[in-house]
Amino acid sequence: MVLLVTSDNVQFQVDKEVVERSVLIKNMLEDVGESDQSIPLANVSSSVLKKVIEYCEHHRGEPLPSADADQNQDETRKRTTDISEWDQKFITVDQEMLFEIILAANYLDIKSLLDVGCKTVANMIKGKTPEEIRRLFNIVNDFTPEEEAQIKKENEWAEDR
Amino acid sequence: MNQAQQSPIRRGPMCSHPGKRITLCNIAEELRCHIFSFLSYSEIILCALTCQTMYKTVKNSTELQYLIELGAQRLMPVHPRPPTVSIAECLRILRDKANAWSSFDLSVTKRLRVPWFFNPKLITITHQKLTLSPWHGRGIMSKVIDIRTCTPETARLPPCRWNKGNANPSPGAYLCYRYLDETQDLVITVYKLSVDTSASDFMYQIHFRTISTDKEHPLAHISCLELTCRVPSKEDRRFQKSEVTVLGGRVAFYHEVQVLIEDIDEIYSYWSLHVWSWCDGGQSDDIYLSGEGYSLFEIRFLTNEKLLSLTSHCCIENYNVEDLSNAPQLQARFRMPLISTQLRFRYPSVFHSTSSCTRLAAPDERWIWTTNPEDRVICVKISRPWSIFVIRAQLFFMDIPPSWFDAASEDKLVVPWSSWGPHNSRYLPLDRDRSSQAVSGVGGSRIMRLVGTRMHMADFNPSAVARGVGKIVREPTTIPTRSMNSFTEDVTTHLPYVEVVNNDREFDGTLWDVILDEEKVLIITLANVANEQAMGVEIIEM
Repeated sequence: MVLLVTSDNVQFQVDKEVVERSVLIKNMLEDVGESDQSIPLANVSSSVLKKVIEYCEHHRGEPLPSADADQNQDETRKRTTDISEWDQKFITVDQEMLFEIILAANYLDIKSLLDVGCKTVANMIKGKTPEEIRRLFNIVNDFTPEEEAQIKKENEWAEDR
Repeated sequence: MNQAQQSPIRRGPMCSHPGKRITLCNIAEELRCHIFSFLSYSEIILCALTCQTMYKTVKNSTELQYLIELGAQRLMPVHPRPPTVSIAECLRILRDKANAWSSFDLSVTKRLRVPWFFNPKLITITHQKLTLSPWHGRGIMSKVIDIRTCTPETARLPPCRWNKGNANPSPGAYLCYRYLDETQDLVITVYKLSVDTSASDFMYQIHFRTISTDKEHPLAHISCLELTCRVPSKEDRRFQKSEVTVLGGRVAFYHEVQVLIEDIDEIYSYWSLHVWSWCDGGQSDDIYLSGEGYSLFEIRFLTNEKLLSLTSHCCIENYNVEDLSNAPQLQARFRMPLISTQLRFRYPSVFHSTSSCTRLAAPDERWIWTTNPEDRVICVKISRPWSIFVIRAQLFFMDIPPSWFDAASEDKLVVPWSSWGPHNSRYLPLDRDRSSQAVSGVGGSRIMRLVGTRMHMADFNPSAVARGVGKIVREPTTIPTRSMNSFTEDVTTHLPYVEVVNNDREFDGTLWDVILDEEKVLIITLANVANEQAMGVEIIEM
């Protein structure tokens, strides 16, 4: 068992096999060797870590993507945004939690969880106009009308038709 | 280039504004890039239009710029990117290719001379290989030239000759068709077996061997396949034809027999179309499509799932061949606005295995992109008058609106010219006089043709038209029927394209043919050198 301590000082006892889905923690454990010391995660709050552990528990034992395969996998995945049924249910959270999970997955280096989060955001963007995207993510249009016209012109050639 | 995009996403502080609500705009730029990389190129552009932060993310990311460039140019990679080549390098090549349009010149990178022994109409090119076949269809020889390594000397070496004894089946059988696919090192030979003439069936033996070694092809499920084609009639046989075409693992075999029906003194056709996987097997004599009363002039795969045919009824038929446990399924017959027995597909690289065969090994030093199948054009050549119909392949991928079909047609699958033709095609006349052939070539979304003494290159890719490097032609052109007796109606076409014309330049001899793919143009000329006819091949990199 490994003891994790979150930014809000909550302690989590987690199976080593589960927690090692995080490359960051795996490397830390390898560095310190056998030890009862707790691992402080100053960047992750307890509510987020709870979700992350839930994800790691569910995917316990699945093979981890190797670092070498990364590049090729990236290009052959064909930009698919398919998410498995369990993952989809898991990631049905409010927007703030969604971004928190993405940040935590990135920080803890859990590639598959990072992808699930990023694909979810991508799926939210799909099929929307710029105005709809702004509304969805509370984005303020800070272009001047001239800039906006210029950017539209820049990308005219690439419009899908 | 921005190195950050190549390395794993940076592990930084959780949030650029601690204590503030985390949003799409204030997470690390690398994470935004990662999110956007799951979008299509047009969705990435829409994101860039929302605010300054998003715009900068898209603008600064080489990976996203590459995705936009690739998507907008309607290209897809054939092989995965080799680890030695950066995304920035890919992006640069893609942009150079798009801009190369403005300086369309035909500067030759390599020049070869080959004996006139080879039929210039049977030249094929795939990536780096040039395949030559002799005039005599029954001769079992051919020559494959590697464009990268060949020299004028190696080009003159004799062609390879296959050991006829190995490939020849039972005595009395005769060779009726040969098909070469050098991308898969595959030669398919079709023999008709001599059988008891009282039987109505035709027996074929189809061999799958390698071009390089003339051995059984290692990937072939069965290297020698016997196929029986049933003919429902025993009338006087006048003519028999067979044809093979391949794309990746798929093979299609067409068999036709024409009989004389004495009662009405008329020639009548029976045919069958068989599609199977030559690697996985599973071919059964029972799964085929049969037809009668008309012929298929040519068959070509468009993708693994789609097969096109040109028929004696002047239709382009679109078959669904995705499910090999069923016979090919006719989706639609697109009627051409003419009556002619001289319709031919212009042999295009679009139908070649390089673009569909994932099994092919990546070339060592390079890889290629290919135009998305939907964004390619196919070309139907007619000889009276010499002209071509350029048709966008998207037509064969779309769901045809029910209103397009001619409800009065027998099988309700005929799509009249007026429904599909004008906005999906462009009619282009070809120049021909005593000194030159009617020269045209097709590759990807591009058509090259000779007009007078200059080569015209037309690109039908919508993004090329939108970029507008060259003369944009959007206005319709109309050909009045009275000028050509084979046409059944006035032909007005308005598929937009962009065209550039090369500088006037002399060719090495009589211009005979032009062959192109997304990377190269081959100009075939015929010349008399030292009292000997020779074929010149000029290779031009695009």
